[in-house]
Order: sequence, then C-alpha cells, then structure tokens
Amino acid sequence: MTEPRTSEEPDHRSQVEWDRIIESVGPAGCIVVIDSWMGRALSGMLTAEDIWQETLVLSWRDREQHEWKNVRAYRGWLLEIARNRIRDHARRMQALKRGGSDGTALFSEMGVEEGASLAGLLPGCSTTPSRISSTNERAAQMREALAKLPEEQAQIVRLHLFEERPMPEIAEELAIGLAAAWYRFRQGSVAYARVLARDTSMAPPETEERG
Amino acid sequence: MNDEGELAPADEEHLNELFGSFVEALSDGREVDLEQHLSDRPDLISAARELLAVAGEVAVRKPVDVPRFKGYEILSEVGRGGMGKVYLARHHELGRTVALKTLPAQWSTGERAIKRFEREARAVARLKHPNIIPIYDVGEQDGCPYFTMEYVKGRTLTGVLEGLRGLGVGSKNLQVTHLGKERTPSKGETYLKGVVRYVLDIARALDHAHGEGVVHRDVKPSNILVRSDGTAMLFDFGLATLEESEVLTMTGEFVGTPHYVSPEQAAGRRASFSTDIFSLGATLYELVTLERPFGGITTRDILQEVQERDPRPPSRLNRDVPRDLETICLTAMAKSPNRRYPSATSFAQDLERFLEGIPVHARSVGTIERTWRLACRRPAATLSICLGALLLFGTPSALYLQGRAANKEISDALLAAEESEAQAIVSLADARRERDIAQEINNVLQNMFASVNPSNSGRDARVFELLDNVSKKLEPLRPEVRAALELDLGTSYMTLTLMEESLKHIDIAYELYSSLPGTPLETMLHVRAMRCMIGVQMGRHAQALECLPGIREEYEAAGLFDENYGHVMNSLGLAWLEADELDKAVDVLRTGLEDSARRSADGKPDATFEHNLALALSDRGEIEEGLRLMRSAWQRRVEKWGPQHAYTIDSLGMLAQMLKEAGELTEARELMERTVESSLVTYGEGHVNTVFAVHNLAGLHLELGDLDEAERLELRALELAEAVLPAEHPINASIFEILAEIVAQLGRGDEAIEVQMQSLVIRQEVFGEDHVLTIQAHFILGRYHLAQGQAQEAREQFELAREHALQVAAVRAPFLLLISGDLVRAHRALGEEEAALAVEASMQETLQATPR
Repeated sequence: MTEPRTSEEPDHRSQVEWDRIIESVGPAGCIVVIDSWMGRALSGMLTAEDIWQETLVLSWRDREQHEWKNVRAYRGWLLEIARNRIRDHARRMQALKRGGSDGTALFSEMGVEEGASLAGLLPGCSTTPSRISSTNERAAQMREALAKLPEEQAQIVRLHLFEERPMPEIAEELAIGLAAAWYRFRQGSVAYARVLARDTSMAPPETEERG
Repeated sequence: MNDEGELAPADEEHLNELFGSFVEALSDGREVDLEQHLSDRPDLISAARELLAVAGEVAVRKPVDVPRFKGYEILSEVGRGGMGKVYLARHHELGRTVALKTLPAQWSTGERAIKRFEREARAVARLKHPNIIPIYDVGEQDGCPYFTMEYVKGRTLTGVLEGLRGLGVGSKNLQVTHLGKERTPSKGETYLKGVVRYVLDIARALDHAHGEGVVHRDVKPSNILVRSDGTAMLFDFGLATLEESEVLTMTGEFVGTPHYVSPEQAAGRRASFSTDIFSLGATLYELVTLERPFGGITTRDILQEVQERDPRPPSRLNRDVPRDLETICLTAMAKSPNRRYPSATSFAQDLERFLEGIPVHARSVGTIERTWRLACRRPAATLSICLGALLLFGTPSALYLQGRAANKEISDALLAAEESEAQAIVSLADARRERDIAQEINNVLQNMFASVNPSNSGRDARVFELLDNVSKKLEPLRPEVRAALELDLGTSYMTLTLMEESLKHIDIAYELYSSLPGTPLETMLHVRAMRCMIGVQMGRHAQALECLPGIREEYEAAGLFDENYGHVMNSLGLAWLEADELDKAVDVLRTGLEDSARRSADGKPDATFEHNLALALSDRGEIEEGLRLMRSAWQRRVEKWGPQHAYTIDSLGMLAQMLKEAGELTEARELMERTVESSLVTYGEGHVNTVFAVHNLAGLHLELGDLDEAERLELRALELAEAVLPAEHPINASIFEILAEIVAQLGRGDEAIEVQMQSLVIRQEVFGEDHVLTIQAHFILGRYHLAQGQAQEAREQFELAREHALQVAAVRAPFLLLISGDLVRAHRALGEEEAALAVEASMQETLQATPR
C-alpha cells in the first residue's frame, strides 16, 4: 500500500475543521452503529439520530479532552461517547420505572430544554437541516441494505465495516477462523454494495435546503 | 486459476484479506496502486480491481477536503442537496460575506452540467428585484463551477414549515405569530394572510423573472428565503432556462424536486412560465394546510400523482381556508396550463385581492359555465345556451340593466315633451318605471353577490346555495322584477342540471309574464321555449315535440332570428333525434346551422349545430359527412374555447366514437386517449364524463382485441363510477356488460356470468323488464350460461328475454329472431325437442311477417 498523502493535521478544536472532520467520520455509518446498540426499549424513547446529535454536542463541548491522532481514532472516540449516552439513557429509563430520579446529566447542564434543538450548541452551521436530512436518509438506506443480507454477513459487515473492530477480534468473538471471517466479510460487502446500489437508485428524493 | 477460470482457494483467501485492506485504505484517504501491490501476481489484478470498486462503494467514512475557491475563504457549509452545496464564504478583498454555490462533485465534469450551470448564473445575474437574491460572481475552481450570491440571513420556507409542524397545533389553529419574528403582523393579520404575503412576494419575483425570459423551474419552499424583516426572496434558479435557449434536459431526464413540479414537468415536457405558477401554487397549498399536495414513496410515485391526481381542496385540510384562497390555490395548480393563471402578474393580483378582501377573479371549478352529459352514443341534450356569466348576460335582467338605459329613456322623453306635453308625461312615467325596475333588479343582484363576499360574511356559498337564497327573496318583489329574476334563476338551475327546480322557476316566470300587460313577444317566446327545452333536457322528448315546432314557427313569423331562436332549433333537432326521426332532425339542424352562419360575424356556423348535425347524419348512415362535421365542430371549439373546455371535450369524445364506429380504430384510439386525458384535467376523476371517457376507451380496446388493456380500463371506469355515481346509474350497467364480454373472451366464463348479472340487475331496476336494454342483458347472460354448458339457466334467460321482447315495440324482428334462435338451442341442449319446435314455428311466423 502506498504511503498516506501528506496533508495538514486537522484541528478538531477549530469550528471549520471540526465541521469537516464530522463529515469525514461518516455520520450516517455512525448512526447505523448506534442504532444497532440501542435496545428495543430505548428505541421507543429515542432514535439513533437523537443519540448522534447528543454525541456531537458532547464531543464539541469536550473537544479539549481529546488528543488528536487521526480520523479513525476520533470516530472511535465519538462512538464511545455515543455508547455512554445510550447507557445513560438506559439507566435513566430504569430509574424512572422504579420511580426514582435518574441523576443523569441531561441537557439542562447545557442550558437546553428537554426536546429542544441541539443545533444551537454546535459550531457555525454544521448541523444544517439539509445535512441532518441527508445524513439520516443515508443512514436509513444503509440500515435497510444491511437488513436484506443474510444475518451472518450483516453481522460481520456491521462489526468490521461500521464499527471498525479488528477482524481477529471479531473472528474470536464469532468463534470462526480468521480466513473464514475475511471470506464472510468480502461476501457480505459485495452483497451489501449491490443492495445499496439497487435501493438508492429508486430512493425517495433527497431533501434540498438552504439552511 | 483452474480451467474454469476459478481462482485457487489460496488466491481467494489472499483477495479476501486484500479487500479488507482496500476498505481501510480508502477510508483513510490513501490511494491504492494495484499494479505495484500485485506486481508478482498480475493475474489477480482484474479481480482486485473489482474488489477495489466495491470497497469504494461500501466504505462508511471518507476524508473530506476543505473546498478552496480562489479569492474566497470558506467559512462553513450551510446547505446541500441534489444540485450542489452552498457554503458561507468571505471575499478576501471586499470582505463581503456571500453564499457560494457549487455543483455536486459527480456533476462537475461534463459539458452539459457546466453549460447548464453557467446559463443559470448568466440568467439570474440579469435579474434585479427586491424579492430575488442577487448574484455577484461566477467562477470555476479545479473544474468545479460556482457562483456567489448575497448571503441573506433568515429561514427558508422549509424551515418555517418544519417549525410550524413542530408546534403540533394543526393548520387550522395557527396564528400569524407562529410565523416567528420575521414578520411584524399588522392589526387583524391572520396566519393565512401572513403566508399569502410570502407567496405574493414570490409571485412578484416570478413576474420579473418571466419578464426577462427566465423560468425558474424549481420553485419550492426550500428555494424561498424569508428575511429577518419578513420579506420572502426567491433564489436558486438552479434549473433556469432562458426561453429562447435550447433545452438541455433530455426528454425523460427528470431534474428537480418532485413534490412541487408541474404535471408537464413530471411528464418530461418542456417547462414554461406556467410551470413556475404551478409550483408556487403547490407551495401556497403547503403553507395553508401544512401538507404537501402530492405524496408517494419513490420519485416515480410522486410524479405519477402530480400528473394524475387532483390535490385535496385545502379547505378539507384546514377549514379556515376561505373559498377565495382555495380557488386561488387550485387555479394555480390546475393540471392544464391553460386553466392556470395566465401570468404571475394575474396570480399576484388575485393574491392582492384576497389580502384586500375583494372578490378574486379566479373561478372555482364548481362554478358553472355549462354542463351536459357525454353519453356513450350521443349527448342527451346538447344545448348551446351560453350561460357563461350566469345571471348577467343575455337574460331579461341584463336587458333591463343594459338595454333600457334610464338616462336615454328620460332624455328621449324630455325631448318628446317639447312636442307634446301629454305624450311626454306618459313617456317620462314609463322611463322612470323602467329605471326603477332596473334599479331594483340591480339591488337584488348586488345583495346576492355581496353575500358571498368573504369580507362580509366569511361564509362559503356555493352557486346553488346562492341561488336557493335568492329564490327565497323574490316573492315580495314587484311582478316585473320577479318575473325577470325567476327566469334567470330557472336558467341557472338548468345549467346546474337541476331540472325540476329550473322548471319550477320558469313556470313562475311564465305565469307572471303572462299576467303582465305589455310583456314583449320575444320575452314570452323565450319563456315558453325555455319550458320546452327543459323537457328535452329531462328526456321528455315527446312532450317537447308538442310545443317546440309551434314555438319555432312563432319565432319565424315574428322575424326573430336571434340567439334564442338558435337555441330552439337546436333543441328541436335534438328532440327529433331522440325520437329517432332522423330526417326531421337533420332538416332542423341543417336549417339552424345555416341560420347561425348567417348571423355570425365571420360567416361560420355555430359549432353546436355542427356537432348535433354530425350525430344526426351519422345515425342516418351518412358517416363521412358526419365525421367531417364533427371534426369541424371540434376544431372550432378548440379555437374558441381551447382544448380543455368541456364543449371541446364533448366534440372530441363524439368524434372518437364516430371514428370507432366507422372502423377507423387507430385514430379513434388516439382521440379517445386524448378525451380521457382532457376529461381528467377538466373534470377530474370524480365526474361522470370522465367515467364515460374511460369506459369508451375500454370498449375500443375490446374491439382492437387488446383484452388486458380493455379489462384494466373498464375496471378503472368502474372504480371511478363507484366513487361518483349511485350504484344504479345506467353507465354502471354498460360497464358491467362490457366487462363481462371482456372476461368472457379471456376465457373466464363463470366470472362473465357474475358480471353480466350485475348489469342485468341495474337495468331491471332502472328501466324495468320491458326495455330493450334489459332484454339485451337477459339475452347476453343467457349466452354466457350456454357457453358454460348451463343450459337450464340459459333457457331461463332466453325465455325472459323473448317474453318481454314480444311486448316491446322497440325490439326489432332480427333481435327477436336471435333470441328465439338461442332459446331453441337451449331447449335442444336440455332435450326439450317439443319446446324447441314450438319456438322454431314462431320464428317462421316472425320471418314471414317481417317486410323485406
């Protein structure tokens, strides 16, 4: 493989750069991952898109805490935030069921009313309605394409392609050989690409906006 | 690789791992050089190349470069869509903040895309209007065209709509304050007026653009920005085309957002100014209802809806939408460009009228111009009474208002006073009386129309409600006034096909006029003629034929060869036609035709006479002449009324039928298809004329042998009929009958029986047993039974058919013989030889009695 192209290291603390980085991590794919992590009970209360928005707000708020390595690592950090948010919400839900308070820091910390838009907490115009719409639509297309694959293919595509987990780790978890894992991944990806291409050619029209 | 081209397992494993590394490399933005990587295995490069392509498609993250445009600093992305991205940028030298728009990456190459883009910029740069966002600059960067425009802070109407929907209060509970801080409402301002102001701004913008020869082609909420001061501005002429330039978009290549496109755009035809009017109408629709006028899952579904379905009236979604506003909206969204506002100016003017509380000029679809029925064979009565202006033209009231100018009468009377004082006094009294009558009629009419002015009552009054209201107020009026208005009312009810009501008022008018001394002859003749003509409309032809010939003679004796005389001749011709007196019908209609030509300014006859005479001649077997006349009638109606007018569609449909009967099936099909299209546009799905049109087309396909299409169409006709007509309507019987024939030919005999049974039931109910159509239905059912080997059932039907056929004079001998012949077959199938012989004997008698 050739060496990476030389480019400036992005500054994730800069408003303009952060915007580009978020675009680079593949937000639609992240939403698909989040969706797979949310239990059914939580899905009734929140959507993966909601969790993603919260993740963005928190990542921007805590940007100084992240030591930049590369986009992949940053993506991993974002997904970790998302996973924690899911846990927080799940705990809150359980606490509410038991009649107790949740103790989860929600948006009141950020000065945002529950259910209000988070867009104002993010820099510049990074979450314009058109971008949110196109991201959500793309995520929906990806989810639907995955759902049409045989389960074992969908699983490995989700784990390696979307979650970017190392294949040896996946193979061990699934109790299959590494070669078998790569084979399954290739087959699944080819099928996924075919379904995605077919479905998106008949997809609903994109939303077009100027925020 | 083995002999079958399959790779060895080890190679497959190698490619599997390679695929994983491809995905990783592309995700990180690293290039993959296959030749270098597989230099020792060139045989795998081809397979690897395919995998590299797949990796590019599936990679969920990819590096995004900061866009660079010379002279500008990109601050952030502010929007994106099918036609590119929009950035917030700052001009280095001027320090000005602008919006910078680019093409989508995959469109950046290609001459077509670049040409379109540049044309947009040139076109819009010419536009200077307070409601159009101006363009500053046009450029290209690394093969990527862009332009810059004024960056306007505000929200798009899409954002406004989303905010409104998010309130969750429903369209009918919205207040002008819900529109946000953008617009400071004036006292008494409503939500609806607030959004109408937005649309008015854009209508004015379009007016300017159209005046410069620019069509926007993509008017929609997301292309309309609402500024902080509440002004709406149009932007993103992304698909604009100059009128005189070539259309680069190929037929079938759809570009745009489907929810707001016009039917012609959806059909792949060229857009025009009218296209923008439609799209703005659709935007208005969404603003007043919070719902899009057309929906669907895929783009294809939505485009189909745009072309085929009328939007639900806005008042059904938001009952606060006044009739005028609904009319404005639906006029702008008429399927046919000919029925929309002719210009953005007229659209804007009606919006202004609405805001000022003045009645709008657009007329709702329900307002009557003329109605008639498009029968399968011929129209029941095609009256040429032109009641386009309802009450104000060609009626006695109008004569009082127009022809009896009080001032002239008075001045004439004063002049006469110089000659004879006594005579002058009488003349002056008459003149004053005429003036008073005219004034009284005028008052009634003004009050009547004032009652539907939204600013007065806000109530929605349909035409017949209006008429009902007026009819209750006539009794106290003096006889001369009441007579005139009763006649007007009767005429109006006739156009609404409320014949019983019409006759009631005309009878009152007749009684009043009869009792009034000095009623002009022409008025009395007119009233009497109206009574007879209603009879024709109601199918009482025999009754009409008792009075119409006499009235005709009186008109001729009085030398009154005016438009009313023409109506009489037309009605008389139709009455003779319905009575099957073809020679008399032809004679009267031909006379009427020649007379109308003499009276007309250009020497051409009235198209209605051409139409009706064509029918009569065709019935008489003069097919060629009939076709010639019907073509002429159609063409003349196209010229006078336009292709989408009800009159025009009537002639088009009849011409198609006649061509079918003449065996010209190809042309007949083409014209019938046009009739269906036009009916859908003019009448919509919920109209009996549309049902007829679809049903006739189904019959044609049956004749062409295209059974699948015939079935599809006939089922569609049935669906339409069920939605709009009562179950026992005669057309349903015809539809079932044709449908039965279709399924029988498709080999579904049992189904044919069931369907034909439905036809029979309707005919029995509507016409009774002693009617040729019911007899026919029995006969056809019998044949289907026979075809299925159900001889007993067949015999029953043939017996019924024969029994009643012997009672009905209209049943001719050939048909009777046909029924009898099949009855014989049924008897023989059941081994009933004696019965068969008896029927055969009776057939012999019939044959001998039939003149050769």
